[in-house]
Amino acid sequence: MIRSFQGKTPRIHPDAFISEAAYVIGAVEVGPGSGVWPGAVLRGDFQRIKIGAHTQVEDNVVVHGRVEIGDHVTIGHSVVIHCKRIGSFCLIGNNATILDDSEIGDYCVIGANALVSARMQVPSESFVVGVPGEIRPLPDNMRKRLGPRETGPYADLVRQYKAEGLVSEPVEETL
Amino acid sequence: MIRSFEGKTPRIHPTAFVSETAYIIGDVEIGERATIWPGVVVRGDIGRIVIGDETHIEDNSVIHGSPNGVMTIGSNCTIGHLVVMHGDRLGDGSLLGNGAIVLDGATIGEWCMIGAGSVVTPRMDVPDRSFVIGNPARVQGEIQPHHEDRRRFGGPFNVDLGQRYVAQGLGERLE
Repeated sequence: MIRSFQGKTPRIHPDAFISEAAYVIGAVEVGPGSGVWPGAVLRGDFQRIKIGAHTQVEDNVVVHGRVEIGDHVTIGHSVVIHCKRIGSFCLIGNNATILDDSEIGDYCVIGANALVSARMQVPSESFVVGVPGEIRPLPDNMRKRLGPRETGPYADLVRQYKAEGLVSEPVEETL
Repeated sequence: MIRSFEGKTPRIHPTAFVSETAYIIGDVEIGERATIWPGVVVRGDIGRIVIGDETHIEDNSVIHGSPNGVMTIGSNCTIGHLVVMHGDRLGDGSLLGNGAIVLDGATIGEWCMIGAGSVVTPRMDVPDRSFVIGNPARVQGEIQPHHEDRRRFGGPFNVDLGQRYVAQGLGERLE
């Protein structure tokens, strides 16, 4: 479902995919090739949410508050994003929680269930694990798995879900 | 919502209960008297997902397979609230505690208990009757009789609760 809030309408790129079972409201921008999967909530009601290109927001994720998320990012199932910025080419593990005013650089991996605490600054090429999160250098084997997402399984899924009409109808004109 | 994807339609036994706010799509099979609670996503788009009889998947959990693989969730399992199941197997009678995460390629045997908030790491192999907790998850030993007693209580309770929902006209109409 896509909804306006206080005169602000989500701006969804025509090549993005918003599942029919997601809920996107208010000042939200989603770039080309990106996907918002079933149960995900992007709630741009009191501040703006901007999501770049080829970024996947997986099932039951919640994004709330003023946040900018870069390109080619994978946000795993059930993640809670409440932070200021996530760079590009990042992987946020299933059920991780990213708290207020924290910032994550490019090429970062946040482990499953990890907690990025409020105001934490995560430099580019970091690996964060645990509760509260501990910042380590990104291992080479993980670094190799991060990269462009214009192609690959999720890019195919975005196209296929759109082709099969499993989408939320736009509210007004798109980008 | 129950949806086909790439010509594959979920096969759900008519005695199962599927909440009208769950989202089940693609190559998914669900057994007799199983229950799927509000906000659950079972996404059989990149791999097949088989869920046994009298297995319960509680609110806002996400079940998503691996590419071209088959995820098997046995019979008489309980999957708690807000679980993310991304592994290959959960054996008969096993329980995933609230917020537990099972990562890619992990296999869990029969009659296991995985504690709340545990992270079962990629390709971890959990033997039958294990008691597992922690992030990363570690096998603590065998399950105890009082664990088993609770499990034997929980299954019939959920079956009954599901049928009470059906009696009130809640849930998807299953053919």
